[in-house]
Amino acid sequence: MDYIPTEFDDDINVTPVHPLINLGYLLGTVFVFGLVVFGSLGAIGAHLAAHMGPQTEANIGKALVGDFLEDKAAPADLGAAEDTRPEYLKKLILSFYATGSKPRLPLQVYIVEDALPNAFILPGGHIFVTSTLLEQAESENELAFVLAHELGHFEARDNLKGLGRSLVFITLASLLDFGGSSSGVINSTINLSSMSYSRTQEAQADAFALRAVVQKYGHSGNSLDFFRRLEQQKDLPVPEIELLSSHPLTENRIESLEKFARDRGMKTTGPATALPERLECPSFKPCPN
Amino acid sequence: MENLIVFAILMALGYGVGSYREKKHYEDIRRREKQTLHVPMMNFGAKQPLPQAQDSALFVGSVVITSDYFKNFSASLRNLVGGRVTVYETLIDRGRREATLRMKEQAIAWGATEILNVRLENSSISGQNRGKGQVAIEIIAYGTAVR
Repeated sequence: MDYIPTEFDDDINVTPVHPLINLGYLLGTVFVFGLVVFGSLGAIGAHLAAHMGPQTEANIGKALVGDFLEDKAAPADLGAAEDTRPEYLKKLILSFYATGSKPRLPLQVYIVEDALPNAFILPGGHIFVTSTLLEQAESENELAFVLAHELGHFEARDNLKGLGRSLVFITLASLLDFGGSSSGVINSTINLSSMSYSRTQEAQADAFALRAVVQKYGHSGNSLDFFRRLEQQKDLPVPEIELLSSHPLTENRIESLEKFARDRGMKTTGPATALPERLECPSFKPCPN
Repeated sequence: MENLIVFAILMALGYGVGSYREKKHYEDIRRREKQTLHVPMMNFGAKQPLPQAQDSALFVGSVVITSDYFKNFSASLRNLVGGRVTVYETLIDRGRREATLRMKEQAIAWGATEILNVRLENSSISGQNRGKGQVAIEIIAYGTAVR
């Protein structure tokens, strides 16, 4: 048998596709897939936030609060059992509900040591009030307004909506009950201090709070004093005040709230209701130092 | 942002230099394949009579070839979705043909008239860097030349 040299087809082992087209196709696939996942996580998160059952919300709240308390302070500082102030604050909050109706979850109030006057609510009905807010409050009306504002977020489920896409993972973690690792999941998915509400949500919570205080005290007088004082404290680094940072500018906020009250014929002046004495000290007893 | 710029530079470097060198390499391979085409390479089984020959010797050709940043990135994306890793196909193809050519050229210099039972082996020598997406392989071609 004679050997006849013949050239062979040298492209048989190489797929004839341009590397850039190949890369473009791959990038496109990954991008589209990413968009689909991102979009559906957002949709699922929004659905969860709007339709979550109280039990699930309570579980998530428990995990979040545990997580939060761990890096904030020792539990002894937080609404310690002997301190009766959280009970007082809770009563104040519950008084916003009409007789016969109650919050969808049992509410819980904690007092945290912090240099800034602030209040916020975590999912599951856990309301946090800083010691500085209690120190600076001058009337029950203004404290009530701040608390009612947070309650507005709770009733509108803003605190759940604020978790956005991470809510999906948090819910899964709490449903599957990862036990000790669930706080790790939460830690890696959200930063609680960066939880923010949209301006619309803030405005609605403000409106809710205004209605609540007017219903309770019969007028909205003194309720906005807290914000008025903050506005005057020009030296305060405003963006650091969390209560304000995500909110409309304090000035606009006061104006629009006053307009809101006028438009609805609410009484905007009235006597201030006094706060219980020594609100800044645990159990209203004289402070130790 | 800085990371993105570094990434873009590396991708451009990988694609530009990588594809230029690949083109040159293929030109070189095709030219040498034509030059060495006159010596046949064949396989013989255990019970087949071998061709008449005076001398025989084993020749080994080996080449180490590595991919570039662009290929690595494309392949890592391909790893996500599965399918043919076309960017590596040219890499392996070049390696096989280069190793075979090196073996064949040595044998021709020795005076071979035929090369029998050519085998190809390869091994990954990415070593510790394997997980970092760096791909380097060695391809060895060996065969028995007769004259």
